[in-house]
Amino acid sequence: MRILVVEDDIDLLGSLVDSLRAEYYDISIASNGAKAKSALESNEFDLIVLDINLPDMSGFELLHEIRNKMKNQAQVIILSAKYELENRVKGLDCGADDYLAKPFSIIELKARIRALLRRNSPNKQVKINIGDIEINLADHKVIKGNSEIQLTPKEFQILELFFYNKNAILTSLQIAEHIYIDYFDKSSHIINMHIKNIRTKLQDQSIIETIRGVGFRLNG
Amino acid sequence: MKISTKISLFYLLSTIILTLFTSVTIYISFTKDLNDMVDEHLSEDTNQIKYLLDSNISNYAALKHLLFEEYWLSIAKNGQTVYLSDTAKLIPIQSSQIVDKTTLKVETNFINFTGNNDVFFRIHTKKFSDGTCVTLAIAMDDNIRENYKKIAIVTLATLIIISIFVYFLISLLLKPIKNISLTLRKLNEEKFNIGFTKDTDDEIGFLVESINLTFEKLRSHFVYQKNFLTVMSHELKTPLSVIKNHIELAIENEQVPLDVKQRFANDLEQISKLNQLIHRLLLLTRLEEKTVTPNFIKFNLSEFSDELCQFFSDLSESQNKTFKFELASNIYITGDRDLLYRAIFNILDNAIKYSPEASEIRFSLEQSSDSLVTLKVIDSAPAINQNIIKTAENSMFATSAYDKDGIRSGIGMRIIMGILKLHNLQYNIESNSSGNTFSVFIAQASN
Repeated sequence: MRILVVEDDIDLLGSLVDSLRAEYYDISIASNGAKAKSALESNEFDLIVLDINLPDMSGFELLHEIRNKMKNQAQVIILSAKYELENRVKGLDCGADDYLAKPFSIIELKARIRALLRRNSPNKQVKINIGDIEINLADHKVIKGNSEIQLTPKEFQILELFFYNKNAILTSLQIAEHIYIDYFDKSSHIINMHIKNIRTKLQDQSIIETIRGVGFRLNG
Repeated sequence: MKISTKISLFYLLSTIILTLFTSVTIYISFTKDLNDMVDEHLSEDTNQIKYLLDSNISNYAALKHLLFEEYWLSIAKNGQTVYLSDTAKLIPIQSSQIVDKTTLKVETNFINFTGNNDVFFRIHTKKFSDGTCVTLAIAMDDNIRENYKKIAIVTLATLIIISIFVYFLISLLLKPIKNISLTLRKLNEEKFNIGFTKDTDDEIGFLVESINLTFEKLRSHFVYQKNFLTVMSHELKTPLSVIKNHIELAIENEQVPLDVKQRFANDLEQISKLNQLIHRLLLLTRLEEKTVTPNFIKFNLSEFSDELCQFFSDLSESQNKTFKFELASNIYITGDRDLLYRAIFNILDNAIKYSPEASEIRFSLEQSSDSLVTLKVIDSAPAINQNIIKTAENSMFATSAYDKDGIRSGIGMRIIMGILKLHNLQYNIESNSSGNTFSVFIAQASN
């Protein structure tokens, strides 16, 4: 999967590239609008991660050109410092497929990228297995052995996040950012509670390990 | 007292004093001249009477026909009154009194007769060398005195009329200042987006020019302040993203020791808190600057509240608190869903955050009437500091208020009030030792 990351901040660009390459994506970079257009003219991308504040043009303008002049239909995730609803709406109206407000969690960005790429993938992987647990992304079902486990929507979202990030430590905050739109700072207790419920429902207290003072890890 | 009233009264008082001084001076001078003239006239007539007496010795009866009948006349010889004119007989003044007063010198005086009608006489007595004493007096015309009264009344009336005219004239002149004052009162709502039209080139015009100039500076300052906060907030987001991503990578890295990861996890929470604070400050700025454009839509408040209840039930449970809710179904209202979400979220969040452990928080959505819904949050938290409410209600120029513990900043409350105001929603906060009840009254949307 080829991803173009358009971001003018070198540090952020560096950490994005490192994180996404670790997921085996083919990453190209552009630090301004002109370079992004040039890259898009000479290459095909499955997804574009686009920062709104570029030095030479607005990300909205670039997106407009991508969609209308270049007729490029690659998936686009907008990265913006503006979190307000009207900006999100504007971004989506311009042709973006998703909108992520800064400062975002890299875990969340990766989850969004996965979701978007899965949407257009001809070989949609809708089932993921870890041990004897299988989650079905299409109908949001969880099967353990031969029994279906009833999880709430939030619990399913958390488990899905763990499945995609198995063996990685996820903090409460990263999980909260994934399942709630806002007010993540209030959610650490709630996340603890959800994890406790997931363990109980899966009848496996060790499947999600608590890393004291840091977060949780799904051992697969 | 208004400036116009003060100026009118000052004008009236100073004019009265000036007029009185002038009138008294004129009156005294004029009266003196008149009396001198009368005295001269009486003196001449006294001489004529003496001449007539000398011609018609002791023929006083003749005098009656010869002399002027209007005179008050008394003739005395050797201290005895020998003749009194008819007028003198009518006026009960002892002739001896007059005679006694006479000297060789000419003396003048007034005889004041107080009867049914006041009559003033100017009296002149002359004693001749043969012992004849002639006292002659003439009634003074009181028209002069009457005329003075009339002049005084007319002058006073004129002054009052002029003062009223001056009052209205000054009011008219000061009207621009009144308009400026009224406009300045709107400052809270308009946030310096006001200006005055300079209509005249006088002092008021200059004042208007100066105020406009001051407002321009204040406006620039506010715009700068607002932009500064917005730009800085947005500029902070990218470095925060970088830090956050680096921390996340460090937490993922297996070679990083656990204790360092714990510190990094804590740093992530601090970044999140900082980010939430930036969001709140930006929203507050936009609410107070009235730059928020609400997206009013009709939506199901019952379902919307149910979503919130799920979150806060989880939150309360995780904090060992009880969250009870009772929601009337299918309540539709019109408003900005996102902003109302934030306002109600803040109310509930404060209620849970400040209520003690094992306490109860109740949330209800009840239909008060056919058209009104009451959203009520009852907590067991310490009473909300009234300063916070007052500050939140009068947000402009307000500094953040803190409760006595210094924990509860007014930002959350100001956001709640700002959103409620934006929706023109009435609210009520009752606080006592057992807790707080926050009620919001919302009009139901028509079907």
